[in-house]
Amino acid sequence: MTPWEIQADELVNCNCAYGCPCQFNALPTYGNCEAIAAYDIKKGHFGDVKLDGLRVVGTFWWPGPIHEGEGKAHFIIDERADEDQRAALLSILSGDHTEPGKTIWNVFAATFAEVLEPDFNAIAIDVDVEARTGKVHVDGLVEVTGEPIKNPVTGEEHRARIDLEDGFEYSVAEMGSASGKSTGPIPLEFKDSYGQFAHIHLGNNGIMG
Amino acid sequence: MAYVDWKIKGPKIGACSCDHGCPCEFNGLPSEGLCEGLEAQRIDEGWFGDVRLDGLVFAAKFRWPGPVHEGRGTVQAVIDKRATPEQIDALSKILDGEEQEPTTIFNIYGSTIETELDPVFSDIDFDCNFQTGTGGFKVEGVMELKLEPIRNPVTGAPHPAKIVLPTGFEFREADMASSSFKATGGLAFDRTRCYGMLTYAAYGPQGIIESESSPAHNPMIRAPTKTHIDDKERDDDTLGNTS
Repeated sequence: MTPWEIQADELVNCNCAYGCPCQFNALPTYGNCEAIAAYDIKKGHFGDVKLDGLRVVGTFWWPGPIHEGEGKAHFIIDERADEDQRAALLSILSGDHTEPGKTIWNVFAATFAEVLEPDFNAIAIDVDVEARTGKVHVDGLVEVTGEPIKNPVTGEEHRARIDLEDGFEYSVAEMGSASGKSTGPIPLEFKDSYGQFAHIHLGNNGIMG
Repeated sequence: MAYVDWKIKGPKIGACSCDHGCPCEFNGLPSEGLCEGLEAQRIDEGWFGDVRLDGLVFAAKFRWPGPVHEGRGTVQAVIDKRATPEQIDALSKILDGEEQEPTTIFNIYGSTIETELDPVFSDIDFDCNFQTGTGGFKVEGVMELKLEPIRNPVTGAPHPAKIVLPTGFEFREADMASSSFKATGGLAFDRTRCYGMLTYAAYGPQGIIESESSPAHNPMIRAPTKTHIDDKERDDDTLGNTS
């Protein structure tokens, strides 16, 4: 198993309600899961291959809850990544070189019926986890905007967090509101739905911090 | 504004008709459009002026036809039948939102209530165990709640999850659970595998008392947290009673 590690800021937008019941092992709000996930890698490596500063966006669709499988995935890899970096990132995202069930990518991989050919594009990601704001842009493919949840009565920002003791993606996630659109091979569109902001730190054995 | 000095503090458990995790905690809409459920709190330490409230338990069941913030709710309170007339009067004032800011939990929820059924005076069999993530309460012939850990749908392993609300008016941190509950009478319902939570909360005239309301200061809570409470603020005598 090649040692790898990724520290990234992420913004995830799915079709569920704020707080996403799936975080609590409940069923998705509207019966199925559709999501866009963007990772801005602050620091990372796969063996000797440095992954610092690279970005990745994934678009996902399942006909039902994720754990029932039959999903589709499409990854967009930072066009600045060289051949080794591309191979490294796709390997991690495929759940390879990972203890089973220990990273979100490994768990997801087991639920995909189809993984489409990746694209390599310029990816803009600007995420502020603590402020719960973020923007993701991939020309012609993906657009996501995240912002704080607002109180429906007072309009004030509502700060809420989910902490998972045995998570495979995050230990602490800030909850937000997000709207997103994918016009790539997995077309998706979300309006003011689940937005998740987190500093993630994953490796071969799962969450590292 | 000067209020009568009061405080109630202790473990609190609750459940509603929403999915695990309850979208309402995130200002989402309730899973099934309406909100119905129940809750109970044991007062490990409490007073209202000169009246001590230690050891008493109170509970409530409730229903709103839509999201809570749209109002038109119905509620029925249950007061520990061991309470003296002075204690009943004190608890009723607290639960009715008297002697406190408009922004307390009792006033915020109170502002959404249209119908208040006559309170019930009864024994309330209460249990809250943060270590096992289990708990429940029972008011004979009125309502019953059982809480157990959420489980992974594939592996069956417990799924320890917390919701943290840094400025929450009901809780600052709550352990998530899976609930089964039923109630009979004026407000009747029967539900399984719904939202359930266990928390530790202290309330006073200004609302939630942050330094005493986080299970983070309960040594039995293992989950990682950023809102640490200093060890010196721990009240081990009280926390030892929470199971």
